[in-house]
Amino acid sequence: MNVSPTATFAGFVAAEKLADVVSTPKFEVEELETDLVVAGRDILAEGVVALSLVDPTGRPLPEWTPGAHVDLVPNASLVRQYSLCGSPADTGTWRIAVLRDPQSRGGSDFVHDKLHVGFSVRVRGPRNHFPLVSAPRYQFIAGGIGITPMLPMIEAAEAAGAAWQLAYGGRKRASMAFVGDLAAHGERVTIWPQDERGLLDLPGILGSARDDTLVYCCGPEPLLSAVEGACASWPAGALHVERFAAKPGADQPAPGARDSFEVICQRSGITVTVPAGRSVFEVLEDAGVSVLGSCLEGVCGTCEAAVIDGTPDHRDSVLSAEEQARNDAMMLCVSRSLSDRLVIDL
Amino acid sequence: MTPNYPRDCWYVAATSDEVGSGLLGRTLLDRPVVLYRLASGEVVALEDRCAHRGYPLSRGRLDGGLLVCGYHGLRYDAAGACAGVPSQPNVPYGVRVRAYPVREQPPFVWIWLGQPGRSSLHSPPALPWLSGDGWSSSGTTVCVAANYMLVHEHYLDLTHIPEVHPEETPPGLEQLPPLDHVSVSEMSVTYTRTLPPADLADWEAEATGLPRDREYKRRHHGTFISPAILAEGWQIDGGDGQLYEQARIHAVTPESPARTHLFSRFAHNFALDRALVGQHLHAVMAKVMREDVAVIEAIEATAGYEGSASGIHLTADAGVLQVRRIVARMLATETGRTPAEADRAPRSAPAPKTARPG
Repeated sequence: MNVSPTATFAGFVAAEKLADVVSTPKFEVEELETDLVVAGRDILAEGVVALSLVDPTGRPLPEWTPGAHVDLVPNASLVRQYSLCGSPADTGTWRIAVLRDPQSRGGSDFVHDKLHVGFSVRVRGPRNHFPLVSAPRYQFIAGGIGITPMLPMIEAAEAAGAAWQLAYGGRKRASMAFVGDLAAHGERVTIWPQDERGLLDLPGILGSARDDTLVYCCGPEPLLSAVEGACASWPAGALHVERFAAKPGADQPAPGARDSFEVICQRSGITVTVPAGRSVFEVLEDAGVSVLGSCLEGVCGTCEAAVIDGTPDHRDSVLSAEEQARNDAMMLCVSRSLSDRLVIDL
Repeated sequence: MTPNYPRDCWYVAATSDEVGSGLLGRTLLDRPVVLYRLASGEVVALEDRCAHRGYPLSRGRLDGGLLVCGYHGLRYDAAGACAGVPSQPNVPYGVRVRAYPVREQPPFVWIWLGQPGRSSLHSPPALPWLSGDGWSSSGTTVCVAANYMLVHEHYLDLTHIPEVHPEETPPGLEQLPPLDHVSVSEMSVTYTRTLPPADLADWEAEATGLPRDREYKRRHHGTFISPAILAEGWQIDGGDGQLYEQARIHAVTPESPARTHLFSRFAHNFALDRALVGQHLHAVMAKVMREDVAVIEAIEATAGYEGSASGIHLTADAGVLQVRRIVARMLATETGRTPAEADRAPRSAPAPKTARPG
């Protein structure tokens, strides 16, 4: 089709596709997916590679805010989440940094071995379940590759004139990405390689609970659990953590969990019965309800739905304990029900 | 109602041609702003309120590069600093009015009214339909007596077309099919709707010059780019290898909770060498816009935004609901609450807290 070339917003429908539309496809709400090209590739530290992703036709990419992540979707069975670690002001490039994980389920190996400059990869998102809430002071705590979301957060905190400190732990200095860039911030940043200084001194870093400070933490599970423990006495909502794997024990049923229960989708007027062994998400999708989903492990937060009535059995790793206790939202992929009936806003 | 608009966002303050050699006073996000152009061509935006007695600076005059208050003659430079007071020899120390970050990307002048430091983390969106490359555009500006979300939500659900704009509805499309697809990211929502083959409406036939003896496929699509910008396109597959697209770019800038500046631009990608086509499309789209504004203002005058947002949801509202979530999250992070506490509809901004959620 002879269409005048137009560089439009990447989320905007490509004009030339209309001719391909034969019949009206099934209506769906989905996350934005785009094929991006690797424009730059840098080894940042031992086992850490950074990729710069751009639109192949140079169109601007949708906006995002610090804490956002994207899915890389090399194929339907290999979906992995990576925090955006560049500047949100750069609307032409998304930057991610990926650690090669010896226990990799395929995602990091794919990035390290297959994604060379010039290669194309499908990207979904961005989405953000780790947003930087406005505050006068921040304590950032990063472990290993968990440093990635902290970089745009630091840029935003600086821009807003907020006070901040970063404690950055890693196995050893050579394995820690961005150490050189962070040096520019002087005493605000504490680099804490385990082979030199041991584990992060969380009581020393956090001190006593403060009213003016939000704590943001991203890193391996032992660090997240330790920080959650150390922040137990902090005000509710002070601690924000980002997980890329399910929280240990999160999938355990709460006392009183129903094996089978009814879900009423108020907006679509569809009622389904969720049997034992099947997720709410699967059952709704089969029933033709338009639901968003990505990781299906209770980690990414894509399938969050508002709960109008009933009590969910929360088994996700996204919502904080306080958020779960409000029972006004649930992750459809893993969470179930403590009541015979859940009414959700879908 | 309390303001329900995010402040940390680039909004359109004016069209480039509105900011000339004079002073333009305008209320944007509840703030009085005066806009003017320096000899260099650079646009300046200052708080439109003299630091002395609060007289609007937009009622003053320009003297070289200085803005002179029309009351007692205080002079301000482009950074908002007081540069002189006629009635006393010394310049009062530290007296200034706020200067707002401004960027001009014709046809729009963009302004940042949020936390000043955060302006550098964002950019006004690129709007290729308006930059002339393969497109021709015109526009019109109105002040709508309604909350800005009513404007967005109107353009996010175009199933109103047959009822509100019957003359412009192609014969046979009196019932619009549901959306095909809604695609969301952290800050944007895109929707598409494929329309079954139908005859041309009069305006389509006149604009495209396509023969009326056959039916045409169409697609309608749009993107909520930010709380400041919604873009939508109406594509007609000419069957002749050409795609005739008419795009509307709506720059939506709240003035106050119940008033909104709407800077609409109409662009098309065909018959670029025929000025009459552009004039015709402009006339049609301006009429459509007047009809839209009448509907939006009627809702504000009766239900108001909160009443409107508490109405029932239809399938066609899928895009609207996603946009409400985005705006609610933006409001929550700006005001220092965790997003999960935010209601799904951006009914109103939560009371500002100085510190953190409690």
